[in-house]
Amino acid sequence: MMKFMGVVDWFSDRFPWRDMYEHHLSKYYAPKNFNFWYFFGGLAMLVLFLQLITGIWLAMFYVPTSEQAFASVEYIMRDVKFGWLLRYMHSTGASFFFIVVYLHMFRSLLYGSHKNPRELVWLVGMAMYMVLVIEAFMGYLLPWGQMSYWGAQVITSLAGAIPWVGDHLVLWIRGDYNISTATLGRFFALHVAGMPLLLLGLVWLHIVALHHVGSNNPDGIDIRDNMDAEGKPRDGIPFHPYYVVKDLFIVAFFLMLLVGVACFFPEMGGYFLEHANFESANPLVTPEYIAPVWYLTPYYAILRAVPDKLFGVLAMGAALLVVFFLPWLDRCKVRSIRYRGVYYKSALTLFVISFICLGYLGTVHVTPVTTFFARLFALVYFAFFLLMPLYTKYDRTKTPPRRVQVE
Amino acid sequence: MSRRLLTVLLCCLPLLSVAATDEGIPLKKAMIDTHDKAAQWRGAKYYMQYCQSCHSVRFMRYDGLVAGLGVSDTDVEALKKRLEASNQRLNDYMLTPLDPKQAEKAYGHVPPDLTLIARQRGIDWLYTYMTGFYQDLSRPSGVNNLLVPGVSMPNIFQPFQGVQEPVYRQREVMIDGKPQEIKEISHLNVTTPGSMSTREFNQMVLDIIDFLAYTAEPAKASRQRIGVWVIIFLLICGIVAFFLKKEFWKDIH
Repeated sequence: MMKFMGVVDWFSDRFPWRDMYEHHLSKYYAPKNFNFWYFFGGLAMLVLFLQLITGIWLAMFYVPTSEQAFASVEYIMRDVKFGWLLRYMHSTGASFFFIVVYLHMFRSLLYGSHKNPRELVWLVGMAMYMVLVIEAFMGYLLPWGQMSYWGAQVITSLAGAIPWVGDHLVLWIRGDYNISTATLGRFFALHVAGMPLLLLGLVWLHIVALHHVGSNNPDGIDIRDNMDAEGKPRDGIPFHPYYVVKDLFIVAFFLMLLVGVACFFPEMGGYFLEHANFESANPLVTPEYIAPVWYLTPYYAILRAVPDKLFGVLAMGAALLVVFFLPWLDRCKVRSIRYRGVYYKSALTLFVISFICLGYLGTVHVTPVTTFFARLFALVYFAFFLLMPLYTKYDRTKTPPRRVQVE
Repeated sequence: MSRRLLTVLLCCLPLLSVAATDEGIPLKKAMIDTHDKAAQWRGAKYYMQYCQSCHSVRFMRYDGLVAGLGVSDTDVEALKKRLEASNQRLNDYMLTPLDPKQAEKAYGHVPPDLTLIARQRGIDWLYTYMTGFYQDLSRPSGVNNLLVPGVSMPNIFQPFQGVQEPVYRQREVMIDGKPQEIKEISHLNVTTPGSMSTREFNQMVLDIIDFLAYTAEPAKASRQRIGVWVIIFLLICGIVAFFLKKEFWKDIH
């Protein structure tokens, strides 16, 4: 034991692990009133870890060439020991990643976590979301099924809508005139190394920025405004052990869901693994209709709702970009929805309905009826953000309590 | 707050289904038991006898198949002998002897590989397709298919199923605002019986579909078996973690 402590001390003299442990865990005071919505940040980190681990093992057997890609995935599914488990955990994990991230972002809309002083936390979070979208899009090409191929073909062709440089840009992105081994190679490299490294760096920024200003809570009030004699927040509890043991319980429950889907419903009715993707990519046969995986369909619906290709692409880009500005669009005096007025509550309800409906509309065939609804919901989507300065400013808010409310 | 929001959202769900419309004929339900290894092996034998001359199962190996389905040693020996006769071995992939160039000449295109067809189309689609051939002398092959009009595959099931002929019905539809009578197929009737009764024939088709469902995902049985144990394990972990949390949090108010 003495010898062991000696080794620990040797490291402590040379590396500030104790400071880091205290700063981020044992002496990081989190509000004691976290509820259901506060699990998803930690769960997103867990899913990222699972995706990295399963992804590394999949990359050991996957072959990124147009001739071999589809067959190598089937090789993983059949001949690699527990290869099917790695692959299903990875494909289910991708969908769960977006479920968790969407709920995590919605939490911010509920309790105003994006507001001053956490604007940077929000911006880094949005950057992570964009990286995740690109990561997922590139990963989806790798199985080299019909939907992988044609989805990538359609989405990369969108760059062609840009005037003057469009065609050159498409060629530069694909590395070929069509989606081919050249495209697959670069998507593979970025999917397994480029984007994950970027994501890890951003996760670090996200957490450091958050721990610098402190966590928000369901009451949207600052626990650091109310300190005790020792300089600790009266309504705060150390993250470790309190939230670590609480998250442990949630992790077990979450993994049950994840494993349940991966082992019993890996296709999830064609939403997590699309039926058309069980056919190898064929550049000569266009599938009946092309739809991205469910987590990108809200933006796809906005793209299709605009009759002009260039303006459709711009609308889709704007739909993503406008979310970055949320901290400055929200002019409300209070953070939490508990003390906001009826304007914000109705606006948020309409926004969630339109986001879900856009997501659904992005998965179905275009008809005049679906186009009408897609335009209507796209309008609500943009109105939620662009009118926010008005309705949050004139909303009739309640005065938040001075101490957090424990349910 | 979140409960009220959820209620509003759930009330909106039925609105979504309005936009969805499915085209095409209704699919027949393929009632198969994907855990019935005997049926899958029967289907595999039918497949090797009648289908593999044109359709490969290129991701499935014979040895993987017999191991996965727990085939008896005598059957494995018989299979080995049959394979040796055609210069194949047990650890070969289940390919087809058909030359793709010749196939293209004969049928207009190469018969597709069927390893993953059950996951791509679904078992109901396969059942409707395989039982949906009928006589149509206007076609070069002499047959057509209810689900895939203008199908290029000849009806190899005819000796067993017999000749099916369509029964038509008249239906009034509105075309450009005017009511018009159209003739459409209401169902198929066996007019010349084959070597099997309808029940026997359907069973053979279902066995083949069961085999194809197996080749599409040989790991299905193991993922379901392992899934149960993992969830039981996580449940125990979750219960322990729950009491751990309760113990730690008992003095937080």
